[in-house]
Amino acid sequence: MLKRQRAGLIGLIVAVLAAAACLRSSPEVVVYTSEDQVFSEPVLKDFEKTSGIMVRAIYDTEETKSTGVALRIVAERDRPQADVFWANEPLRTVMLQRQGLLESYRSPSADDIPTQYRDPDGHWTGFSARARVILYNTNEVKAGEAPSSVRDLVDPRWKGRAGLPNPLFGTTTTQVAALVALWGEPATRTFLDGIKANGVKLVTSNGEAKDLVASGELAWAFTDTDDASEALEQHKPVAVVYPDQTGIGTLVMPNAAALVKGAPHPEAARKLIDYLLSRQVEERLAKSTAAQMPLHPNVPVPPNVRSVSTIKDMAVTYSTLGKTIDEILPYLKQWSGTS
Amino acid sequence: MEWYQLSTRRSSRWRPTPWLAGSLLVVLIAGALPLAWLTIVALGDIASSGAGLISSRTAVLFGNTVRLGIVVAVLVGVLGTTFGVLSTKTDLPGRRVLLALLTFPLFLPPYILALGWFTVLGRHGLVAVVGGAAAGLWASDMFFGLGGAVLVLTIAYTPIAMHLVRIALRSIDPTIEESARLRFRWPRVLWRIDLPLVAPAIGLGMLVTFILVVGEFGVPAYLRYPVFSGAVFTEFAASLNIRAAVVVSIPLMLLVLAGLGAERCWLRTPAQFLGRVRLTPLVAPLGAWRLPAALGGWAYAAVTVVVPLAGLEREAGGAASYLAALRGAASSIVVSVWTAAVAATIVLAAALMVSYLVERTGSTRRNTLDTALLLLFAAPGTVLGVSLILLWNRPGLTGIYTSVVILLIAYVAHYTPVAVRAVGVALQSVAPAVEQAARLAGVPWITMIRRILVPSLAPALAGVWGLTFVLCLRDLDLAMTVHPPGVETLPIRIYTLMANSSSSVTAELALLMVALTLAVMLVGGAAVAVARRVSAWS
Repeated sequence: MLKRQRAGLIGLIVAVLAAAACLRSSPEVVVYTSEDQVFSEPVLKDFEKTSGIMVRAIYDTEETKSTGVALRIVAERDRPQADVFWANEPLRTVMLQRQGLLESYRSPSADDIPTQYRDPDGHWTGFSARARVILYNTNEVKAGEAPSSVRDLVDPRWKGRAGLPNPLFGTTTTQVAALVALWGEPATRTFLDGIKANGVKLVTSNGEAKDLVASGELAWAFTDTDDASEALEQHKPVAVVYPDQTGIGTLVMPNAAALVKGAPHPEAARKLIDYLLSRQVEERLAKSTAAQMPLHPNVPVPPNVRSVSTIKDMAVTYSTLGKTIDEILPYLKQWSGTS
Repeated sequence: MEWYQLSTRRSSRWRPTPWLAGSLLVVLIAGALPLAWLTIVALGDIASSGAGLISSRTAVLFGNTVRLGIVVAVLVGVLGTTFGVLSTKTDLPGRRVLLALLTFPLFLPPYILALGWFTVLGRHGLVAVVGGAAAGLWASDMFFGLGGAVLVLTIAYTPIAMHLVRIALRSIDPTIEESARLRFRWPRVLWRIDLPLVAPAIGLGMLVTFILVVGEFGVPAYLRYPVFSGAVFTEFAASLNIRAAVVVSIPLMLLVLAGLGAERCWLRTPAQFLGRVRLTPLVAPLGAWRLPAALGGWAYAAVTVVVPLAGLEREAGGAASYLAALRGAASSIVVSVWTAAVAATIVLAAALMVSYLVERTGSTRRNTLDTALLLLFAAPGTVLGVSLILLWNRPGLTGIYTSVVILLIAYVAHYTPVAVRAVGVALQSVAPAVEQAARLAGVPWITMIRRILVPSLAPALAGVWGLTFVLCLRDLDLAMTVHPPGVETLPIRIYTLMANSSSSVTAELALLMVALTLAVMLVGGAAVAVARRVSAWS
């Protein structure tokens, strides 16, 4: 009786494993994405429907500050499991590229995407951009007195009332790296010291910055357009300023699609990248709460989404920011109090 | 088979070694092997990675971490013991409901609790609404900093100490208390008999809390209280530097060793006494203190549990919205429940064997094993996760790494050490003489475990299974690092949706997680109760 039970159990296990193997035999692509799940999941589901290729995704969490999947690609470097890295900003992609973890792929879908949003060697391609904006609470700040520049972070007028997400994580890293590229390291260090002296509250993420501004805990803070758009959609008492439009410009940060070196399913991966870089996906992300700005010309957008061409953007070259951040990271760790 | 029949077996069948060694091997392969390997690899970079550790800022972070860990551990010890005793040993009105209520914070990741408290103590929170802007400002200033971190983490981890104390109290032989009652009144029996006997459980609760607090990053970061775990997280997240992160986490491990040493000195005196003859614990009447104790207990529960839950409920939408959230998270719920249940079962089986090995062996070997196991638990979830990736993501093993099995391995590696200690606390209440008698009677060792130890420890084992189940169910750091593509547990789904999803969806998912955990625990509790009655009847 016992033997029969054991044989049954073994048979069941074999059947389950066989079923799992059959399931895996259908075409599939594995994508690691730091784009917020609420926006990326519907896009990936649509790709599944149109291509017949099953998508297995790993999404990043707010807790890991959108760097968990990048870390996983590093940890899996000897035997990559991911095919595509869909990053919500280009800096981590550049960091992976510097570690030799990405493969070059020039997608035909990206021909009319402006060159400043693409890696010259094809290791990543940008699409659907966000901007780094100021979000202020309209109960705490009058429209005419709203901050309008990154330099307002060091203005004594806002002492103890402004917020900045930790520059070690997320898009604030990109923002600081861009400032270093524009101003040079000494000037940026002086600026960061000024931020600290001005009592700017260091928060853990853009989402938290948005929540603290919306609740009135902070008068204003830097965040990204998707977070700002969400607060506006929820009718929170907030308004948005695109900073430095008469100065250095606003930082525009595209999503980035990249092919992982040694990807287990390269053909399916290229198809997914082609799809992500399509006008169709840009239109969809523009119409979502993310309100992301298309980089293809003439993609129809809703009224709440600004066209990239109407924004004076910061003159930064993303492919060089990886080196910049490597240089300033030790200082940033010290500045933010983690070492 | 009846007892007298067991006595006819030969004593040569007393062979514990394969079972004990096998179980220990499972735990070591699951966790210690990958961690040891990763640490050896990382130590190659200690000169460059460790240089940054020597700074005045590091000292400040370390000091903050120690302060937070000690304050929370002490508070958790006091509160957990108080509520453990009140809910187990007294006639406090509504103690079962109170117990369930006080367990709620354990069902939620601490970060979500912190968000709930922000709705109360934020500059425009409930305090400001009730007490005015100045009160709101004061509350916000108190909340963002050490005070808020202590508040949130104490509430989050008090249930662990409370349940460990309960497990230990339920393992006490009532006849000892009855003997003491012949001479002393109840307060003295509790103070002089029960508390010394459950001291190892209190110590374990404080130690586990200390380990969890010094490894916690989300809550201190949210409340702007800089701690050392931030340095580890920074190496991972900002630098994508795995080796540096492992090196930077070494001081945290040393801190855990210091905590372990303190616990071993003061609170881990093995208390062995005669095996129990009855399972039902004695209850101490509170008398005139019944009402004040009830008011105190319920007031604490109202403030620490109901307030943040009400905050989440206020954010959540209506029934249709809950249904939508439930539909979207159905597969995550299924994965969460079954992986946590399977992992808790494996952990319990391994913990029973390994705790036997720890508790029934010489003190030197016992201390070595105990230390190694607790270091396994103390390793930050991300560090353990990365070490598992490096071990299992290789030719021939990819099938395991890319399946849900890797989640089970991760849970077993991380949570078995706590279960070993918890089972060990209960095991101390069973006198080795009982086992010796079984051995002399010729009972095979595994039969002794099955027929003597397991029934004796049944309430404690059920409690440990429940605690492990909850810890696995709410795990985020580890699961996030290793979960296979296309498979999400509920905490992962909640956290991935937190960014840019409406706050109502995350509040609904958080409340669903509370409800789900509660439902499984209730079903489990009912099953245990039925099994107990059937067993008593037969």
